[in-house]
Amino acid sequence: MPDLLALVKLVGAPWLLWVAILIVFISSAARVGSEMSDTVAKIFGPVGRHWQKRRDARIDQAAAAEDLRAQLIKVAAERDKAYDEALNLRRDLGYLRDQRDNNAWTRDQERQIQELTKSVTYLRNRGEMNDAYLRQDADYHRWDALGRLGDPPEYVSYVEFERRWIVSHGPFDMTTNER
Amino acid sequence: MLRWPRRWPRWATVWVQFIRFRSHIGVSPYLTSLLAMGVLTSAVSRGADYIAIDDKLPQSLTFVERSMPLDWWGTVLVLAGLVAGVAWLRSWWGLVIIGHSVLAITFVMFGVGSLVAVTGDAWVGSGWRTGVGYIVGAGTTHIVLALTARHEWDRERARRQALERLAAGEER
Repeated sequence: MPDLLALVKLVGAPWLLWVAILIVFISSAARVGSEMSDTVAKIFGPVGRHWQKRRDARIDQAAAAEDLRAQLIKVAAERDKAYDEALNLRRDLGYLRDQRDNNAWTRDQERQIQELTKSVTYLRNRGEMNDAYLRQDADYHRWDALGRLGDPPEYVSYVEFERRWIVSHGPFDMTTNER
Repeated sequence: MLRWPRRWPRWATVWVQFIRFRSHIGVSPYLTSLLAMGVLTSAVSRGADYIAIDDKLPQSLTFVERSMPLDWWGTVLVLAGLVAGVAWLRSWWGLVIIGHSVLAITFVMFGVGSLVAVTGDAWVGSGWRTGVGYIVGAGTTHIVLALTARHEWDRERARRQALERLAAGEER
């Protein structure tokens, strides 16, 4: 430190501080300008070209880092998915172990299938009835759309059709898987 | 690959671990903005303080601060701080870099002046905390913030270039 003090005293020019500040300001402004426009870079010649080369290298590096980050996110998502699957498997195995029964898992699957079959049968029957209603209702609407010429076909409301359907086909039941 | 030496010395391993550790440091954008706003507010308030001191110059000024009128230093600090702050808010990364660079060199000079003022005495106990604080605290923070802004600018331009490449590929 005494050497530094001697140096400053020897130079005795505090305006050098302002020169340094100006140098930093001008150089950073020149570098930013060279990075922003080719015209400014041409003013500074080889230095400007060097700055632009560095800028392009840094941008490539940032792009590569972005790619790596995206790959990392993808791999992490896959890892999480595999972890979830392993967790489900462990849960099933634990269920088996708790039941003390090797066929517990299969019987549970069968129970679920039976329950789902009830719902599917109910929905299928409703769909069949709806399709039949649309088919017979089309006659009335065709007569209506063509100007109501001739005798009108029989018009049946949806509720009335449903009542007749239940009388002829039986009630809709969600508690059974039999038609 | 480097084949020599066969066994790295232990201190080299420690140094490599230190380098690898640095790449894991990450600060969220929110915290970075908070840090920048705090540091810039400090710089602007210091500049305003310098401008407000008219005739009662304190004796604690170093030769750096006494080398030029205090208003000039204050103007530099206020201008650079305001420019960098507005540029942070508007994401004008070039102006952020310029403002933080000017603030960094200014504070480093204050620190050098403060260290020169205490030369000749013992190192510790002679008031070197102020210079070290200027250089290591303020100067390093402004440099790091300028580099952060440059990195963010690079990422932005890389994203824009990727989008332009995508658009050109779709046109072709």
